[in-house]
Amino acid sequence: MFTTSVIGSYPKPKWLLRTLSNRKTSEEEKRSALDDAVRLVLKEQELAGVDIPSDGEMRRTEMTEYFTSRIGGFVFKGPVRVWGNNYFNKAAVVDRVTYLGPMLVDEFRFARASTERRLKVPITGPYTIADWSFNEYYRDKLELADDLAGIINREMRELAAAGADFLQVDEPAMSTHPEEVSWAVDVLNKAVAGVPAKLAVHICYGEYRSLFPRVLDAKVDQFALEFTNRRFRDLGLLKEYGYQKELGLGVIDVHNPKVETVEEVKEGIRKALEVLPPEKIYVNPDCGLKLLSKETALEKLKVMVRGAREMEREVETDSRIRQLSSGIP
Amino acid sequence: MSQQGRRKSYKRLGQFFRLMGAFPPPSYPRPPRLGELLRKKRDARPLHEKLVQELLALQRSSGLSATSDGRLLWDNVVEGSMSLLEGWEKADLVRFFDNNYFFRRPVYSSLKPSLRLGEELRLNPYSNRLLTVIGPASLSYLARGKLTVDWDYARAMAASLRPMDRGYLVVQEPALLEGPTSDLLSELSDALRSMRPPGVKTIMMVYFKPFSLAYEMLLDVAVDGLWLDCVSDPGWLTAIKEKGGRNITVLGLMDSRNTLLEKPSSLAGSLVSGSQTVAGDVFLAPNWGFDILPYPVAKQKTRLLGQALKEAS
Repeated sequence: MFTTSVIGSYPKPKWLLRTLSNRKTSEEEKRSALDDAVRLVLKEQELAGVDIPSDGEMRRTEMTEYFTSRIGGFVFKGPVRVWGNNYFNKAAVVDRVTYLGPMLVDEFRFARASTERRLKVPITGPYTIADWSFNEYYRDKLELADDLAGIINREMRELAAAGADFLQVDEPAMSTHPEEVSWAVDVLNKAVAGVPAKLAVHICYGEYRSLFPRVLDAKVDQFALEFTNRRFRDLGLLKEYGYQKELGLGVIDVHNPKVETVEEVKEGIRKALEVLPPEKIYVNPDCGLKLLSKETALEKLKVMVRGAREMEREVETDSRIRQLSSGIP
Repeated sequence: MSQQGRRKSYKRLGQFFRLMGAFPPPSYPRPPRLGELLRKKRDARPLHEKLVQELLALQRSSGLSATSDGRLLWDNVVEGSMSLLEGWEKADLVRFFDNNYFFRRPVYSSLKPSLRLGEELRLNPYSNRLLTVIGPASLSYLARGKLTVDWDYARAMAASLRPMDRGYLVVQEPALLEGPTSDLLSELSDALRSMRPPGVKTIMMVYFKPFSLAYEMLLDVAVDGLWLDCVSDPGWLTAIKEKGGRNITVLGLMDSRNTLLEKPSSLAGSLVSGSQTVAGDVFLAPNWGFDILPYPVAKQKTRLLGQALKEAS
């Protein structure tokens, strides 16, 4: 009834980080270690009971860095801090961006062969890549994002052709510039145009209200949003605008090592049921899990799935009681 | 001499005595090697002190008019300012305006001052030192979602700032651009007056949003100067030309959110043009802290400020 899934990233095992950072490790050994890591995180998600896992983005360094290192026109300018002591290697666009070849297809094929479950493949959206890069070439961000949309669209079509049937465009930057939402949605729609797969968009850590209702014009099947960090208050916003698409409901705080209780997860789902029917609710963490420890991430996923399963039983019982009640003259 | 002639010669005299300079950003990016030590909870003090001395030497050799220790240990201006106070906790992770850069929202009911600043000032002994804190209106907005003056913060911060006895206090008030009222600005004036340590010049810094059409409102705030983000809104330059400036006008002409290096001649041209329109001191500066630039680029841009100032002079 409630499909459980993830947003994308999963903590990288320490042995993997050590192997990758060791100068003596050969390319073949690195590839083999990455393959093992993908198998491991898929099994961990299966162990937690997640219906639609991802490959944990094991092969990706960072959500924009991975793409800017594979799209022509970018050069890296050095590490930039995001919060605390977390950095990413930020690129600058110094020439017209070009598609250099598939970026995620091999990663998807390997993951596909490593699990029987349906898979979600996240891909960073054109608006976010543009917004999180330094611009040393284009007249403005719109021009850059528009070119990037063509590149992301081509990649998504390649993924769909390889068999990926659930693609999520990650656009966390969209919530930061409400004044640009109008063209940002156009750019997103260009990126997903004609892609034959279930399509989701993930937006997080911003003021959702400022994007509504224009953001609802995004031609996707599902919005995967962060709710726990914001105490589920944005569910009211969805109700206000008569939201009818599928909802990726964030019930796990990914920036807090404290593991939620099953009851807290259930309470979040209960609140969502006031807005949407169960079959439209996908139970997710708020965002990628990569900043948590591996143990905490696994524990949080287990609690998330248990909460979803218990809520299914509650909903079924309620519905049976309602059926019985309606049969009483 | 006619009245018009006298006015012209006063203007020339004013231009002669007026100071034209350049300010460093109030904050610099934390170099990854320092971040790594902090992340591993190892003793970061020796490296921090070395980096601060490097920054101060760079700013002085570039000929800048003030010195900033870069606030390298601050995670961001919100949590950093709060670290000068007692009686608060960190809550959820919130984006700092429109950046891919976050802070933990502070929660508190009663704030108390601390004596931490005295120790921190030791690293930057220069008389022209520049220190920054978040303003009481922006703190209220960022911590509680309300654009009001947080007097609890203003009072506690005023006491914490007491060890500062000279230089420039840059009060960051980006939230003002969300739509201030004259009542709010009047109350903010009182709060900023109360926060100002004796002997220190207070500069209010606004950034990220276009707001130049309401420049006149900001002129009423009781501070010595205004630091304006002329990258996000070039209209500030026109507004200054039309309405005049404060005793200190800081023109944030350098883009602190892009690695593209400005041409010193272009910055110099804008600085000279700006300096001809106001009576007070005029400084060239970045439009915000260098927090989200790679550290080597931040150093390059610092040198560039100095080069532009030389050209303008």
